[in-house]
Amino acid sequence: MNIKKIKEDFPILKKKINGFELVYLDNSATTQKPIQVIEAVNCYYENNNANVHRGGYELSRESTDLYEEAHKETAEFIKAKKMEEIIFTKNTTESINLLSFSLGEKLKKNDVVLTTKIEHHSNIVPWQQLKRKGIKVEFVEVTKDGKLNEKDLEEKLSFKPKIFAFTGASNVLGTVNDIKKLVKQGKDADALTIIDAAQFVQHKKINVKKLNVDFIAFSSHKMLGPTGIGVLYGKEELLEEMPPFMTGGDMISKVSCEKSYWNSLPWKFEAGTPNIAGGIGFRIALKYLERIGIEEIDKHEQKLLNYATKEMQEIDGIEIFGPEKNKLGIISFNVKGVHPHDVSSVLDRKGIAIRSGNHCAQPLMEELGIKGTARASFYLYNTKEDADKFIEGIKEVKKIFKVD
Amino acid sequence: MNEIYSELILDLYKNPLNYGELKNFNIKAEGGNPSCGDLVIFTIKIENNKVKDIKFKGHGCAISTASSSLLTEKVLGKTIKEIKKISDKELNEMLGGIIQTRIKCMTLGKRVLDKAIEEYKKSGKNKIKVTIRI
Repeated sequence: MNIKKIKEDFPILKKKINGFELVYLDNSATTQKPIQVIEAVNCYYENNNANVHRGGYELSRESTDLYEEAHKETAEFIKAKKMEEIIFTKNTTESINLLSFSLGEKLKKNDVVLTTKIEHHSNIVPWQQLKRKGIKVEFVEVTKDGKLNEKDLEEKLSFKPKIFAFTGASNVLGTVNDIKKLVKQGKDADALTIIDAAQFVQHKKINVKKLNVDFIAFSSHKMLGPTGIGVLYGKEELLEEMPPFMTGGDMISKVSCEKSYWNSLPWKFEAGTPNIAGGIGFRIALKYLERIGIEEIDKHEQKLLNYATKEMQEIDGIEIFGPEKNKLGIISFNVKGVHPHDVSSVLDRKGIAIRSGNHCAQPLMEELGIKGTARASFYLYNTKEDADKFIEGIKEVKKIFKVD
Repeated sequence: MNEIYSELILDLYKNPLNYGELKNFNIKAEGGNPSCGDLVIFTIKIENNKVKDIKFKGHGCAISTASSSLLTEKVLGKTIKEIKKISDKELNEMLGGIIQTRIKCMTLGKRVLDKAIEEYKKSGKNKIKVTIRI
């Protein structure tokens, strides 16, 4: 893996922020885009733009083919059986809203949806909406170092939830869940299993067929692709049974004034003109990741994580949150006596972009007894020099705030 | 001297003026921004339509803490009308200038205070407790 060469593919990384070369360490929030993806989107608008599944003319056929190719590429990327199982949404949040709405139709009063306390709000709030129907939402507890409490999980599964929705990896702490085990435990309890894979698929390989998981959701923009494109994978037989989420154009096969009939999969769940350019750009992002190799990327991140963690442990007054092992290239931390926003602002002056706050995971923050953290997250284009600048930045924070 | 935070901000963050809570108050206002986690609580004693005494507490970043603290100094002895007139620009100048990305942190306390005073006037009561979400 040639990082120098990879970095050259990302035009934004040449940008200067406050006079310094950008060091982008907020990859858990969104990733930067390689020139190949940017060009693919441009190329589509310059050469192939037409609405999909509409006109019987050449240009529409071109855009339809390109858009459908993107579904096929996604199916291959996660090893789904076929493209019928790949629904494009706006993002992970929309994918989970689709599930909550559509699966929620069949749930009854007092049925239980089980999720966990390390979730992003996107895998909590949509389920809470089902409370209006008298459905209960329960949460698996977390340990002090941010892992799922296994005893509590077993106990909560013994109450036979209808749905078990959990994250593949924590966006705050980087905790990587044992998805294989969790899916099996969910299945054994007869629950539908859903993985919020928004922080998972860009770092770890996934094979939905082998995993036998029912649904997974993730976002293009966190894996080098454009914003406004998300994925919902679902088993074909389940998707067939489910009612549509949004309705209107393109998702129908026949409409009369009295009744409508749904289109075939996956289009039944893609109402209206979709984000065609986004889908096409996403396909190129997936190809880019496959060319480099997810396992290679993961190895590279782990190297940076280990290096930066070790360096940080040398500095007094730094608290790092999360597990020691099995974590993504994410460092969630606090500098004693300094608010996370101030840490982020000092680093920003040197062109280093990190996130601060509660990271859309307020229940987890409450559980950890903190208001927020500063968070650095690595991806394939980050270098050891980036990690060094980040460490230097933290030392600068301590100097400015005179904390020792 | 660094270029990000004025010495005043750093001083007020470490040793905020008027930090604490008044036992005898007319207004108690708790406000914050759930998405950033900052929280500020003002307790205010009003006499003859003027701020007789004011304290603040809570938790926040350097800028929001310093700003709320300085605000308590600034509004002491002022009428409700006068407090309303304090502009963001004025606040920024008083603090020695803050970076553009953090304007929201600076104005958090002021927004809570403005809203609290408004509620107090509207209520017509002698004592109110309000929670304000910014």
